[in-house]
Amino acid sequence: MSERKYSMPEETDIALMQQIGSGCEASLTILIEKWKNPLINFFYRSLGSVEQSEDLAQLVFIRIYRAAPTYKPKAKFSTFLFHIARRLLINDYRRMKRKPLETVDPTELTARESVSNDLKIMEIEEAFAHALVGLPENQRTAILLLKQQELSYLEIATIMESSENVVKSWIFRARQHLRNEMKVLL
Amino acid sequence: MSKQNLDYLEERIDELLATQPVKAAPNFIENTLARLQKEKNNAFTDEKLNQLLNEQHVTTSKSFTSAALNSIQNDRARRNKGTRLVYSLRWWSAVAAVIVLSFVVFYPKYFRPTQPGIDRQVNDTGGVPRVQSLTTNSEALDMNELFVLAETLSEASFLLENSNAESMEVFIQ
Repeated sequence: MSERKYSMPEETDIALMQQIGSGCEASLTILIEKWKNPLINFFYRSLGSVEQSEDLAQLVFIRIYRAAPTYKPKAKFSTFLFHIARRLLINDYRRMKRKPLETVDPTELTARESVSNDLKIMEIEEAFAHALVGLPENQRTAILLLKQQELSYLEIATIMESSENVVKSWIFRARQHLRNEMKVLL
Repeated sequence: MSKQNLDYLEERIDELLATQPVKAAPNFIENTLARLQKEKNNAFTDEKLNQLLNEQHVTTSKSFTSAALNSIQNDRARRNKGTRLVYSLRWWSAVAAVIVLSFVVFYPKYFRPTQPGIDRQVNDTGGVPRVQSLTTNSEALDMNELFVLAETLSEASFLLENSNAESMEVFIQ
C-alpha cells in the first residue's frame, strides 16, 4: 500500500478528537479541513451529486462531533471516519429507494456538456461514473476505499465489518465489472 | 483485446478511481459549523422541553403523605374486620343450620311429647306404642270433638251478647 496522501499523521487526528471531546471547536475546524475533500469525493463517486455528497459529509462531521466525548482510539481514525461515512451512505441509499429521485431538466444536462471542451475525456469520465454506480454497494465502497482513500485491506475489512478475503473478492469483482464496462470506449 | 490495451484500461481505471474530481465548497466549513450549532440548539431545546415535561410542579407535604398512609391502613383494618365478621357469621349460620336440620330430622322420632290418652293405648300385640302419628283415628276424633265444642262456645257467646231470657232458656234446655 502506498504512502498516505494526507499530510497530518494519525496521532494528530486522535489528539484532535480528544480536544473536540473536551469542547474545542477549533480542533473540529482543523479536522474538517483535513477530511472534507476525501469524504466529499467518496460520496460523490457513490452518489454522483455534489450537493448530496456535501450534505452527507457535513453529517459525518456532526456525528464525529457527537461521538468525540466517548471516542476511544481502538483503530485508525480513518477507519472510524469511513465507517460512519459508509453507514450514512447506506442509510441514504435506503432513503432514496423509498423516495424516487427528482427529475432533472434536460436543458441543464446540455448546458453542463457545453462546459467541457474535451468531449472524449468527459465521455470516459461519464462511462466510468456510470459503471461505478452500477456496482453493488459493497464492491463500490471497497474499491473506492482502496484506490481513492488508499486504505489497506485490513482497514477496509474493519470499516465494512467483513474479512480481508471477502474484501479482496469484492474488489476483484468490482475491477472486472469496471473493465467490462469501459472496454467499449477503447 | 490486446495486452497493451488491457494494461492501458487498467491504468485508466486506477487513475479514475484515484482522482478526486470534486472540491468542497469554499464555505463548507462554515456551513458545517452552522449546521452543528443548529443541531446543538435543537438538542438543547429538546432537553429543556423534556425537563419541563418531566418536572412535577406540585409537591406533597409530609403530613399529606402520613395522612394518606393512615387512611390506607385504616381502610385495610376495616376491611380485615369486615372479613372476620363475614367469616364468623358464616360459621354461626352453619352451626345454626346443623342444629335446625338435626331438630327437623330427629324431633318427630325421639323428642315429640307423648299424649297420655293416646300413647298409653294398648295395641293389638299388647305393647304400648311410644309415638302415634297425627293421622290416627283417635286423634282425628279428638279434633272433631274440639271443633264441635268451639262451635258451641261461639254460639253461646253470641247469645250472651244478645242477652234475651227466652233464648237463653232455649239454649240451656
